[in-house]
Amino acid sequence: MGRIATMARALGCFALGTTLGCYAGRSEGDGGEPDAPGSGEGGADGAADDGADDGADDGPSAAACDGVTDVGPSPLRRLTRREYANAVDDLLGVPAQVAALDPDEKLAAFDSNLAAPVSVAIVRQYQTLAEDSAEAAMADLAALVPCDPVAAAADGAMATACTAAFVASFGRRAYRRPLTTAELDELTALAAGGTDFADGVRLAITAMLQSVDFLYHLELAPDGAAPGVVALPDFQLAARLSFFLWGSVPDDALLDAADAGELADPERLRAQAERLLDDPRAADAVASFHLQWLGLDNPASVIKEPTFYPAFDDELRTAMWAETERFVTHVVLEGDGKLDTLLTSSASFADGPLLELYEVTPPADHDPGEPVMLDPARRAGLLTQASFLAKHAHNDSSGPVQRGVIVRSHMLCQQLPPPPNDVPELGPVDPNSTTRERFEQHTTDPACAGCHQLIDGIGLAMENYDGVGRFRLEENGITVDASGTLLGTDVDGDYVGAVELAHKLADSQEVGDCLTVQWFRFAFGRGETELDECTIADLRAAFHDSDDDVRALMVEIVASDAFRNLRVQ
Amino acid sequence: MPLTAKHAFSRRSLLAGLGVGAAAAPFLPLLESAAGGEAPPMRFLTFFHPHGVVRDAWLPSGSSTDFTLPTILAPLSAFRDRLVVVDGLSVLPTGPLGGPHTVGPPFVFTASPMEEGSEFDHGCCTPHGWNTHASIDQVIAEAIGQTTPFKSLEVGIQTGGNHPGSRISYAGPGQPLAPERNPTALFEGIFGEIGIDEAAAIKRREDRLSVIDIVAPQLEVVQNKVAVNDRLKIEAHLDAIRDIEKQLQTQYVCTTPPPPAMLPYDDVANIGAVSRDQLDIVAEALACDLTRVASIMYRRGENDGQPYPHIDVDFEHHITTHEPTSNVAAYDGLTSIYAFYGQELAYLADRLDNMIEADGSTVLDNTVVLWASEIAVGNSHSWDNMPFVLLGGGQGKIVTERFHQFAGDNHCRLMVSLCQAFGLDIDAFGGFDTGDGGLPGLLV
Repeated sequence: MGRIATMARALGCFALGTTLGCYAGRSEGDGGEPDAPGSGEGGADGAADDGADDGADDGPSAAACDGVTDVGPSPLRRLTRREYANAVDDLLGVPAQVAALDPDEKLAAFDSNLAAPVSVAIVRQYQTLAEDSAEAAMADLAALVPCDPVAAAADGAMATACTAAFVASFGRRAYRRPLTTAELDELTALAAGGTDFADGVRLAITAMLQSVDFLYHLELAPDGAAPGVVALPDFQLAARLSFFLWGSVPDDALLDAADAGELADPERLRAQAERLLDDPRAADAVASFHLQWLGLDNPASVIKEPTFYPAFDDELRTAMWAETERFVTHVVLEGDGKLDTLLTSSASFADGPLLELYEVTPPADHDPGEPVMLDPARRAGLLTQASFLAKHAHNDSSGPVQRGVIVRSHMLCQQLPPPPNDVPELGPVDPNSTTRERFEQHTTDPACAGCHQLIDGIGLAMENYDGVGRFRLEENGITVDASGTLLGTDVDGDYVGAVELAHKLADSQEVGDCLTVQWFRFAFGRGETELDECTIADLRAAFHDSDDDVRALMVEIVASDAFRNLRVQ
Repeated sequence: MPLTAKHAFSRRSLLAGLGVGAAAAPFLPLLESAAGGEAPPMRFLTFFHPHGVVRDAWLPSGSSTDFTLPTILAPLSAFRDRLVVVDGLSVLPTGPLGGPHTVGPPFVFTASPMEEGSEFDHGCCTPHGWNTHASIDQVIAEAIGQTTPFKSLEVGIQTGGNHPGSRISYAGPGQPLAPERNPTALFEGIFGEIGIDEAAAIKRREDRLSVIDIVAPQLEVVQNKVAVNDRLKIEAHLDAIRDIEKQLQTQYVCTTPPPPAMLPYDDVANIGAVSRDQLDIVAEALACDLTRVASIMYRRGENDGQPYPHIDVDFEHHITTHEPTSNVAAYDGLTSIYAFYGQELAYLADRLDNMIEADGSTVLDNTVVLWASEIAVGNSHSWDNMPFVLLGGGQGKIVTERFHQFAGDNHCRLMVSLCQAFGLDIDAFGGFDTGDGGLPGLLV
């Protein structure tokens, strides 16, 4: 039991984790589904076996990969909502109402539209969104076109020239490549059919935003390329880079570099990556990675019962998520970039009602752009932030199972077998007992214990935080027991509380290895295949060599052979 | 798109749902249909709610012809003459199993296995892809949806997500059909833009056709350049654009119903209002014969934690289904949730029963709604004793006012009978089929 064999499938394949064998019962059943609210109850069926895999790497050694250049296939993907919104913002300076789009597919932790084809509803949504975005951009046409729109409206020749120049420049960024002459001609002809200059520009934008070149990540082999690995064409590499580090289309400087062939030089490619990471637009990608990794990407799904958590409202939730976004971008882009800092720092960007929840008062001369320091005995990094604790909880109580499952699955890359179909009934909530007591059935009932010692040994150690992440020493008047045990990891052992847990995880090589795979998935928008094993081995080695520097890892991914190449099928 | 006689017969070139002059042409296609002496069309709907039922509050008591409807089904009492309750069927899956809430929605409506694959992996269970078969609404739409402007409608109410647990309709293997969960978008796609005049609507239509003339050929070029595995994605995009193009080119005359309220449609508190908006649109589209098939999906099969504040149910839905049956408050709340869905179906039935066809029958008389959930009961995730309900007269092809109790029969048999009711010459449905044909006693 244990390791999953990697599969060379055309589509994403999330296989570099380990599967924990925690019971010997049937293997069908409900998902733990850590992404959804209200998930994670349930026991396990059958007798416990000796439990966990050691969780070590599946991949080859870095040495065995010397000189190996391979890369898995990149399935055709549509832009995610985030990418669409960022692109329209960069291109038009208007917000696209992407909430009206069908939600993104989520493959493992990350949004990526690579499996299902579109249907009519989605194409209509693209149509409406393109029309609305183009219409909104008309409010400031002068900022968009390379001429005076008032003058162009009165001068046909000027309008024609201005439209052509606009289409060429806008189209190059929207399509991430220069337009062909035929494409330019078609679009300017479309614009010429508008009722006036502005209407023509609006029509051309509307069409370009519905183009296959805009909506999809087109990574196409050069004509006549034989099956195998080829260099990703320059403009496509530019797009891969900007969508990874900005979640958006390239800027003109990056496209110019692609046009000049500069990206083929690994050092200049690295320099472009550093330039993009220095740009404020990188904050979106860094924040999005961490929110998706930790299952925090749908804050609207976090709803609490007011009778239990009267202080939890939109303002508090917004402050929680703002804190986490600001914290991760601060550490990765402005700070030391270290995984250890992400997991153990007690620096906080709490604001408004979140300060009250954390029971901290910033000094009078506090600079709101700087963090406040929380009690390091109570708060250590992402796992003790209120967003994480509130998301991975029930709406009337804490969530030891959700918290344990998300750490196992997303931070250790371990797969838990499903709970069985015939989950034994849990006892009713007793207002005079603690959550730990209520969950004791998990570890006293042998049908449950096999798995739940792995889950609850993490989750119950986080019982000092209630369902909205407020620190507590007591629950229902009873002292909280936050002891935990890590099993099946490289940092096994007993410990007490989430702060100790965070420090143990920060010391775990498995956590760093898992994070490397998660960044690979985020960067490529797909799962790893066996063809990517050497890439991942190399990235893991580089990550460890950098003392777990996340920003350096992002640059290493860009510089990797896999990132610069394309598998032709 | 082949036009039916009635569409070609339209005297005025009126765009779909222009808010102009439409009131002067109430339900013209139906009137024309009467002139042609045709029988009204049959319609088929699927209606999904998540997480099964509370069995005691769902299961009728009494005999097959003389039965009493408990709380969840009580809202349908007014239509019991066109009601069929089907108990005792089992979903008998094969192939890779994910979580039952995730694979349940496709299993129920396609009766077929999930694709082998690794796309959907929730940290547990066997990873899988999408489903391997068309869903029953699409199988029936192939037969009866070819002559209407819209082959089918996919309608969502707070569906969220984009995974097998949040889709009930499949055009074919690996081709889930996304539901439209925004009532305004659904409405405008059928009845035209809200709040613009006729000239603006005509320009909008012409603009859209011009844009399609540019983006469709681009897709055709790319189709030949992408990897073989990706061609289906481009083909599907192209097909969707061609469908939209044909709808823009097709002229039909319908009363424009009142537009939906522009509520935040994903806000849990609005589920009741959004439901009514979506059901109204479906009813109007059916009445005007713009479509004959629709799938209606509420929330999602996979682990739907959302509460129902509009009926004072503030707990998380999914987790509460795992409460012990001794928790009376929990089960009262769950019963309220499922009774709410009974009420929504009753609302739709009432709308359809007040829409009079050319021959004097009602739209409901000519409709079959299949109401189902992805599991039988939440506590066990059981696929036995699935809670199936049929509603509508089915143009006399189904024996109605019946309470059937089968003994673990394969639910494929229900799908076979439904297809047969719509004239399909089949005796097996989907990948789970075990060759038993249709259900006895269901069809006239």
